[in-house]
Order: sequence, then C-alpha cells, then structure tokens
Amino acid sequence: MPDRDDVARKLALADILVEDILNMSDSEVLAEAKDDGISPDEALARVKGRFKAAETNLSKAKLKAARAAVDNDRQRANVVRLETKDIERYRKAIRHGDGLTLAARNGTHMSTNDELNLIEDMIELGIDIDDKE
Amino acid sequence: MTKAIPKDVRDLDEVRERIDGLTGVEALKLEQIARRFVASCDAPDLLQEAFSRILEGGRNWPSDIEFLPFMAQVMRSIASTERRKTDSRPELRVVPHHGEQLTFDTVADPNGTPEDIVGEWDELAAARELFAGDDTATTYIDAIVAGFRRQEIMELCDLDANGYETVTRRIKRRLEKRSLKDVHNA
Repeated sequence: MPDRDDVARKLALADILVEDILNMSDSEVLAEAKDDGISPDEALARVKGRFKAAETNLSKAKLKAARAAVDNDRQRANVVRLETKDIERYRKAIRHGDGLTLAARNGTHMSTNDELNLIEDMIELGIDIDDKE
Repeated sequence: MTKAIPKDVRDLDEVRERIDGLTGVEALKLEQIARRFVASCDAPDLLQEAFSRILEGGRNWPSDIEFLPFMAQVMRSIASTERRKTDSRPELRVVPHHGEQLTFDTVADPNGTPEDIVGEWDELAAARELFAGDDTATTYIDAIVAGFRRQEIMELCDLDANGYETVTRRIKRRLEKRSLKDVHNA
C-alpha cells in the first residue's frame, strides 16, 4: 500500500472527483445544473464577482502599503525638530566658527535655508554646541 | 524589485481576458471544484483566494495548461496547505480566570476559525456516511484513499470501465447534492 500522508488521503477522493468534473461535457454540466436548479448565468456572475473582489482587495492592500510608506517617510522627515533656542545657539556657533570645520564656518555667507539645513545636519550627526551664555 | 515572470507563463492581462471570456459552464465547474476541496460554505472564499494568489503573482498560469485545470491546482494547493497548517496548530484560546480580568488561561478552542473549518471538514467521512449501505461505493472510496489505481479498483469492485465511471459519477452527484443542500441550509 502506498505511503501517503493524512492530507493527501483526505484529498484523494476530491482529486478523482475533480478530474471527473474537468472531463464533463458542457451538456452534462448543464443537465446537472438544471437538475440542481442552478443557473449558469448566476454562477458566472458569482465567479466574476469573486475575481473582481480579489482585484479590489489587492488594490486596497497596495494603497494601504503606499500610504504606510508615505507616513514612514513623513515620520523620518520629522526626526529633527528645531527649537528656536537651538537654532540661535547653533547659528551663533556657525557664524563665529566656534570649534567648527572650515566648511561649517562659512555660515556668514549662507542663506537662511542653508543655515537651517546645516543645523539639522549637525543635530542629526550628534554635533552638540555648548551654550556659552 | 518586481519579480520577473518566467516566459512560459501567461501574464495577468491574459488571466483577465480569460475571466472575461469565461462561460457559464466553466463557472459551474469552478464552483463545483471548490466544493470538492472545502466545505460548501467556504467554497466561494477558496475560489477568491485562488484568484488573489494569481493576481499577487504567487501562482503563475503556465502556458501549457488550460485555465480550469490550473485553477483546480491552485485551489487544491490552498486547501492542502490550510489543512496541513490546522493539523499542526494546537487549538488554543485565551480565557480570563474566574473573577480576574488581568490573568488568562489557554484552553482547547471549541470554536473554529475559517482555517479550522477547512481542516475539520472531511469529505471522506461525509462520503462514507452517504454510502454506508452501498458496498461497491464504500470499497471504491476506501481503495482510492488507500492509493489504489483505477485498474486495481475496478478489479476490487468487480467493475468494468463503464461501471467505474458510473460509480465515480454517482459519488460525485450525491456529494454535490449534499453540498448544495448545506449551502441552502446555511
């Protein structure tokens, strides 16, 4: 006797019957459906409805994933929050060149946006500026 | 990175075209096939899950296989996987201790999840029950479950080719009628 696992044994009869269903002629299927009181048109609508539902669910899942990715990006963008007192502290350090590299010491020629970006970068990099006042 | 689709499979546009062109007879067959793999109440969900796997790219439609046999393979695979999962999963649920809402016990779960229903549903038991007084049908069923081949079953049941087809069709019809009755009673 072949060694077969329990799931295969449970599906063995289904396998034979499915093969029979696949081999049935159209007239045999229609005769059985008529006998069972099932409309082929209604069956078709149900099957197409299930396909449509699968497509809709997939679109929703993709949209959800896209929204989650956007939210994730937003959260990452908000990691550095600049407080007014911090801006002033870092700005003074940049403009005076206190303990900073040459590149950072060019703060006096920077636009306000460039200066803020530099402060964000410094905070992100963990460069701390002592408040001497 | 998107998954590359092998050249010998059909793309999703071809799947959609095939679904668009589906006939009523093919839809009847798909519904019947689903009812052979899971309980009738779960059959529509099995069909939808098969569509989902195909749309997600989990299952590709090979160029050399007709659509209905392919769908039958996908549905069988899902039913088989779910049964294996439920067979190996301990049926536990969390319940509060008496008079205490913060601590819980785990006990055997008497109520099945949808996956449990797939696992608990047993067409073999249903078939044996339906054909309890029919020696030929019960021998045929037991022989199939035991893995006997068609010729062996014919010899065992003393059937010729026509007789074998007749018994197969008889079992299929009785099970289908029972499934449809379950749908109406649900």
